[in-house]
Amino acid sequence: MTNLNAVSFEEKMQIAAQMPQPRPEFLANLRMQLAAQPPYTTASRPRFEGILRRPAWVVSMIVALLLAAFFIIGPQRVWAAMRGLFGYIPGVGIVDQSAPIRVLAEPVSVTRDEITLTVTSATLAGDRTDIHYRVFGVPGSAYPAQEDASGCSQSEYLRLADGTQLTRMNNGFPPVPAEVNEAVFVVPCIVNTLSGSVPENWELPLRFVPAPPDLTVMPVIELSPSPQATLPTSVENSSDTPGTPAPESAITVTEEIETSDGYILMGEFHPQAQSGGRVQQIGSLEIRDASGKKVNYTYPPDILTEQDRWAVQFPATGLVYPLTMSLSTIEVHPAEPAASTELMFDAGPSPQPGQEWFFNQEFQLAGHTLTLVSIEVRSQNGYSFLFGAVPQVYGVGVQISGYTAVGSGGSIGAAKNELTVSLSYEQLPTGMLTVVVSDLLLSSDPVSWQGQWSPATPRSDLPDVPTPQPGVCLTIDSVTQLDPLPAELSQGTALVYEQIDGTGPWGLVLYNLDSSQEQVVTTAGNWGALSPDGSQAAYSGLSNEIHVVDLALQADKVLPGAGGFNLRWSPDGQQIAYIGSGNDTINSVWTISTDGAQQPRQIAEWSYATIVGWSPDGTQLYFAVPFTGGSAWNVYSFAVEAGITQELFTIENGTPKFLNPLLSPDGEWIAYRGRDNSSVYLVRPDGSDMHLLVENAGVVAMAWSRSGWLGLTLRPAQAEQPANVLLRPDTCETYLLPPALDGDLQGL
Amino acid sequence: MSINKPNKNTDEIPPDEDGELVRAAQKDPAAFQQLYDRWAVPIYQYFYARTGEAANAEDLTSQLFLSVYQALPRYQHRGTFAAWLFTIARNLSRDYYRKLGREAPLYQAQQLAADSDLPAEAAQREEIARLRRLIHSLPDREQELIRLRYVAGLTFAEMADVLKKRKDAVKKSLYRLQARLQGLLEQDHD
Repeated sequence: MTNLNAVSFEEKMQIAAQMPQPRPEFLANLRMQLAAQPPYTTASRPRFEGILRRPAWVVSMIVALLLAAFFIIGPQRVWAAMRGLFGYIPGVGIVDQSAPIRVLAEPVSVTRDEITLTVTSATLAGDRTDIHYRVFGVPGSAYPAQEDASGCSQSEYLRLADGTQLTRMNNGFPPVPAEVNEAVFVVPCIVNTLSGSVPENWELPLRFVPAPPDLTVMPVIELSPSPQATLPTSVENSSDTPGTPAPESAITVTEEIETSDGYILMGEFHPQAQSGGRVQQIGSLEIRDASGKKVNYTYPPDILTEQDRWAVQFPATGLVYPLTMSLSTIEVHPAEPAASTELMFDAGPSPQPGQEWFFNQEFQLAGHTLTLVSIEVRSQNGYSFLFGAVPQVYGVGVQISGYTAVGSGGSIGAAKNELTVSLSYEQLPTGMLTVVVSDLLLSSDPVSWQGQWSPATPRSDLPDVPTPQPGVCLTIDSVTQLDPLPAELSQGTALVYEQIDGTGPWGLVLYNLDSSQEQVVTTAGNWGALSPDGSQAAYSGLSNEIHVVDLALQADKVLPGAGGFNLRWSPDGQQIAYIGSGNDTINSVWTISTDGAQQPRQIAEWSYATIVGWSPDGTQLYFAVPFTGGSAWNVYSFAVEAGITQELFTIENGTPKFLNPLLSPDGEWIAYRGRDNSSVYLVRPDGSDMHLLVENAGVVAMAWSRSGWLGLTLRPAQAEQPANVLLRPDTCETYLLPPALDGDLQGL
Repeated sequence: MSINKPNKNTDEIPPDEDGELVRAAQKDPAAFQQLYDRWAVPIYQYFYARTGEAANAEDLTSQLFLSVYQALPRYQHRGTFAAWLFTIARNLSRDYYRKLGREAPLYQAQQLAADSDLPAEAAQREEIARLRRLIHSLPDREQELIRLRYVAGLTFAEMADVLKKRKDAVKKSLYRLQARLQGLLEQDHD
């Protein structure tokens, strides 16, 4: 020990932080790869890099022609000419279209060991190659059992005939040379699977052809400089003059794209620190038109935004220009001088999850008054500390002296007057504990930043008023015009997952639809489902156990042997289908009898499935299984008596996150959430008649009523308040449910 | 091939070697190799520290240098090339974890470097191993301070640029963190 003690702690840190040297052959190979890159030119464009790969004389010619054109034909027409260089392809993103665009001749699939890998599309542009592929049938056992372990992460690549490998980069693959129309797509391993668990080294031969003439490529109009960027509107103690144009310190719009119904805008946000702290954005970008109307937008998923850049897409019908974009920031900085304080508490020899100590003890830290309100034992070997604080306190560091936390977290209350800090340990500290509070972080008052934008050229192709697609019953704009639920429809009940009384624990509450009565079903469960006759509710408890509650008697029982979520009652109320896990499967389909008399039955062995529902006669159970990659799901039916599974069709446009497919009680329609995590589609159980029902209204939860109404919970990104509505798909009748139903609909 | 690793942890103002290399590379793409030689190892080791796996570190290192090569003509050198490089590295790391669909784990299965100049005695190894465990138990933002300082070898000014904080604040944070770790190490030892 003596030797090491002679070493300074700084040196110990350096030794402890030492990392292995890279392999010399790796460094040499990468060096060669860089040397083989096409030479760039210093005549660069500010934002699009694709053109940099073109020969220098081409760039020079383009710049010279643009300059000449600017003086000869004027700026508007120069912008028009610029449009030819970069284009936006929905689903692909922004590409250099100065060379002919090519696409995949036909999808290519390879199946090995019941796992199918399919390249569904490829788009080849001058600056990059975009390839979409998906995998189906990977067993759950192929993935790491622990979150902190990771499986394979080797990159896919394209192999050309001459042996060149084009490895995936941030935004697709490098461009394929114009004269090359064939390549092999190589997937060394399926992402995140454990080595040896599934087939590896997949090779799929691809063939490329010129893009069809009807391929949608929207011109990208580059704006420079951005119009009317402004300094913040509410800066205190600033030496700058508010209102002075300062493109470096505000919201700027750098590109616009005309879409079929509006625009995509891209821009930058460079808030400057006023007092030297760390600038942190609060809330999301708000856009209003010149009449003050809020512009509802989405984030185009195929446009990558780097740090300090943003991109939004919105319909433009009826908008009045200019649009004003606003963002708010705060500055966070450590309190000075640095200080710490110690608080003692006795956790006892055996603290239990849920056990709580209340102190309401005030203390001073770096000149600020905080209150330790309470300490609670969390379920995972940890403690949660609740502090009361003044609004400018942004955070504190907490440790238990003598114990090293293996995880930590924190949150700020909505009213900014309380802070929660959670610490977890390999073993829960017990007995008399010393809590060290330090590292006080303070935040400034919010600062608002603004920028403005008007279209480069007026649009004459948009209607004066919005014209929804045929079949669409609801858009976000029409929610504000909905009538409340009429009395004749207010006889039913709704099961809602909400924060009890607005501030309590989260749980399930049964409401009368007119909100005249409410009954707390549980304060410790989620994934509620009402039985067909409405007399019982099932839910998934905190440890995944499945409960059934008799609503009249308020009697709660646990179904023995079953654990899972995504519960669906059979039409006769005798069984519940659910998603549970088995020995070799993760989140697969199971059923259990509601009297608990039979053991759970595993219906399918695919992992990460979701229940769609039971046919009206109870003979078929529908479920969906996702592809890995993309947003497609295979829909299956399972004949309960015969035990036969049949593949029905593929949902291509569903969200990969929470599809929430629901079969209507009459068995005619499956409703599911769209790829944008905001819309709802309907499709028949045979895959026919798929159409949009709710367009971008922020749908987060759904439930069918027995009489054919579809309940929807709407939580649009930019809306102040969520809303619950009832919608009748065959007539488009839609009504607002009472605001007292303040949570996610889980049953009707 | 010789690898010229930048001087570690000096906060004296060094000659603007990066600036000269950047200006040379912006004029002549062949000169980019010198920037690569200078920064390849620290970048690789930073990614190794983030991901804990050589294959991932190699993949991310390749991505970074190919991206930097393409972006270099647009880069405006203001004396913070390292900050620019490691800002990109941080973004790539974030994308890496986003692609995996989860956050960066607190623990990484890092092995002691095979060619480490760690003292040979078992007790010394044990103390360094305990220090490593303490580092790995830190929140990611504190681990990042250590990665940028001791793995990447950045100056406090460069760290401040990467982390978008004041230099003094970064310095204080790291010193406080060191003091805490030292206290914990001694406490642990006692």
